[in-house]
Amino acid sequence: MTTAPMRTGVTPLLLVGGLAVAALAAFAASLAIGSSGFGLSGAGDAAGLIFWEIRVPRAVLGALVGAALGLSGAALQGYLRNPLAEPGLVGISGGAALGAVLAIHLGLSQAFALALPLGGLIGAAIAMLAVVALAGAHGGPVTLILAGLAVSGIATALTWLALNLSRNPFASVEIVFWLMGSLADRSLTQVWLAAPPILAGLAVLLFLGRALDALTLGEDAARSLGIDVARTRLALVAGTALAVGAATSVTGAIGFVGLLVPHVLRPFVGHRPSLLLPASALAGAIFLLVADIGLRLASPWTDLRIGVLTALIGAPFFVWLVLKTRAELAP
Amino acid sequence: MRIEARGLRVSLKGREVLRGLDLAAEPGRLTAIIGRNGAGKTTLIKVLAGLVAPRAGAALLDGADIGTWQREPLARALAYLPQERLVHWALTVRAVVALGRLPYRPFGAGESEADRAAIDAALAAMDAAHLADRPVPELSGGERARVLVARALAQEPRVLLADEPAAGLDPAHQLTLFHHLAALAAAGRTVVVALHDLSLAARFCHTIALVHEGRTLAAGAPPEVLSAEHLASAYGITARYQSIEGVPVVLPLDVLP
Amino acid sequence: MAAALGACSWLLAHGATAQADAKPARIVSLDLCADQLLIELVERGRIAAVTHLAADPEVSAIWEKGKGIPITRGNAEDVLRYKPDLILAGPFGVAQTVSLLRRLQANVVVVPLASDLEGVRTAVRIVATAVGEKARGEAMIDAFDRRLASIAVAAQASAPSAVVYQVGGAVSVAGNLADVVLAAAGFRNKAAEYRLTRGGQVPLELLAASPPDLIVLTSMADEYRTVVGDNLRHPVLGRLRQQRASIDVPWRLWQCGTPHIAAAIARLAEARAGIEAQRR
Repeated sequence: MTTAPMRTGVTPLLLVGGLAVAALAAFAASLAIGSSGFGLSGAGDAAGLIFWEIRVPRAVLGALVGAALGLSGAALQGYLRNPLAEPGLVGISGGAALGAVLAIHLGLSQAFALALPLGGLIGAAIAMLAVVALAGAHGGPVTLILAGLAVSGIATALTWLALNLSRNPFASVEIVFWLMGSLADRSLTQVWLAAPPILAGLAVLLFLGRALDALTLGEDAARSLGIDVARTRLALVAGTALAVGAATSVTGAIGFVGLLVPHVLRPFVGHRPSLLLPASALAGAIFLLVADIGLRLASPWTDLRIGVLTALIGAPFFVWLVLKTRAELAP
Repeated sequence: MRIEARGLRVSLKGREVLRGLDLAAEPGRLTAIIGRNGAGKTTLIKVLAGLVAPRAGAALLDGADIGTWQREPLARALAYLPQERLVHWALTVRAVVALGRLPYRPFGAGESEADRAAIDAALAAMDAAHLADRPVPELSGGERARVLVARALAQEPRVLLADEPAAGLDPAHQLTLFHHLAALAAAGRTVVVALHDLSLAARFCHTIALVHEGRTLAAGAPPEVLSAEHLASAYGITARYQSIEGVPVVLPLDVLP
Repeated sequence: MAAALGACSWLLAHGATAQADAKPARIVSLDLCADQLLIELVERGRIAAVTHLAADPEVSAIWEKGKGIPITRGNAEDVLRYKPDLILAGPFGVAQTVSLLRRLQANVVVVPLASDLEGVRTAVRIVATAVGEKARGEAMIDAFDRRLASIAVAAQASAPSAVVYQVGGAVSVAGNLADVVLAAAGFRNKAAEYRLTRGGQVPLELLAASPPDLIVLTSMADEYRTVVGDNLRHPVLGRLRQQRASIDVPWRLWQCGTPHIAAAIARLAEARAGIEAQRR
């Protein structure tokens, strides 16, 4: 990696270092702010209970899920060479949600707690393979979005069906959780379930940097530079399935983080896919933590889900991105 | 390092592209592959680069079947420059050229002195040093082509396979590029170039292989290969091969009926 | 289709004159709360159909009695095939179905939502009148009043606080039946003191920061392993239940404003007595 400053005058080390500090600050802020306002209240060991069992899980999950979404977005965009790729839009989160719902409503997660993140993982992997098969690495932005739409649509419909068939009286409330995500009232149990696969997925994806850099020149040139493209694809599927699958299984589908974060950071890393990976992981964590803090502070006046907030910020950005891509592709 | 093809048979999308093709490129020589559009030049280069496996026959690098080469040593030994000048992201010129050093940088390693030297040398050779900090999308077509050649040069390969590297370059840069490729060959590398410009081929290449309908129609020194009858059968043209101020020129005259 | 036409024409002929006859003999109920009142006021033979919820132990206080009664899915065509002479609908029934039935001259009586104790009595009276069992209705109300009297408590300034904590963090907001039940049992509804979200939910953190004297759960938790019920399985709630008093009052007792809420009030009153005894 070159140590020369990028055009914006920020060296990669400085950027990643700065993001790491900001992530720690956001994490600390998330611990300090809650529904009961700044700081901790409550008598006796209520404060300790609130801190360890409510705030810590929420902050940890916020950071891990944000990192998973940001990093997998950057990795997908790097591999597919497509700036419109991200786990939500491309149907991977939808597939993960379906897997998790099936794990719950078939009673698997009651028999065996790890069945929940496992269900999310398998759902995410299947969705990913379906999208890559439909759109391929040679598909343009449009083909990718269409494939993602198809996979998303199928996953959502099947999720509804599963909830309906289980005669669940809370079906409509529950589908809102799965489609819009939530970090509320999560416990350490969910942290223990989701953290290992998320961390494993993050590790796998972070190792893709070299291959993604080489893929800038196209698949043939990358192979001639010594990159095993098939193994890269496998690692991408595995890493995304682990990270996004497990994350979605405990917080529901949260979209647009993986689209927004890499795109904003790209100019600051000189458009290098490899540098974008760690930066996107950290920035994704920051983004989600800050959004969650905002929601908690605004909670008496609004009942927004975190996925709605990220969509409110991300969807207009997506529209802008589509217009920009269209302009570039226009004859 | 010697690179050769023996009896290559390759089919793409059900169509047989190479039908028993033989070729040999020696170190210290600049070898050209010529032929009409669709003759199979690009496919041949890809097979030689180890990117496409032949249905029958073999591509041999330094005597060993290219399929038996390990990925890392192969990447250090052989550089492939594709015809499509793809650079998907808006990297700087220097970053693109630095990609050529990937085979020498194990995971996580930063740039070494050797890397920096190779990159600088490649940029200088392609007259692109002044472009080093410019993002690739801002370059002209010709500048971009030179940058990509620099990337291949930075790989410091023993064998360089280039698919139409001079297409779109202005005359000065075409000449500079080929002077450099010839110099590389003279320094002991094996350089194989696919191209359309018959004059450039005649002028700079020691060996020319004329590919026609999936086979090598003729291979050897330029005057023998670029004979009137070969050009007529391979390209369907009449042409004049002559020397102007000691520089060979091939002038296509007319299309045959 | 022919059957539906037949039912419609029969209805048009007989519907308008139903009230002139003696008690309705083919009653269809489209609402769970009306179902429960109907089943207790009228003999089986006169009930043509009820909703599928009447036999559901989760939501019906009289689910055992509701077993075996034919079920209607609630759309007009299905209702009409029972050839009803009285249809009981709830206040939130499907508006199109009710208006369609009315246009076909069916005898539709809407049973209002009971959101306080007087509302319970009103609902009983309306159903009793419609089915022609006024005497039994009054007897039911008397029994209800007697039971309430036996639990009666004077509201005290130092009344212990309680909150009904449900799936998703929903709580007993003022104006709901649950709020009335807590008051009738002598509790102060602490839900009013929390900063609730717009959906009427209390974040677990607020509940933990200032918990009520009594946490009331409605035992819907374990049957439905849904994600929205995760708050009920949260370790913090478990800890709160150990530290404070908590009680489980099945939801079927207070889903509807029927006299069965007296059972809920009675249980809560017992819990209150326990808390007050501990205070001394």
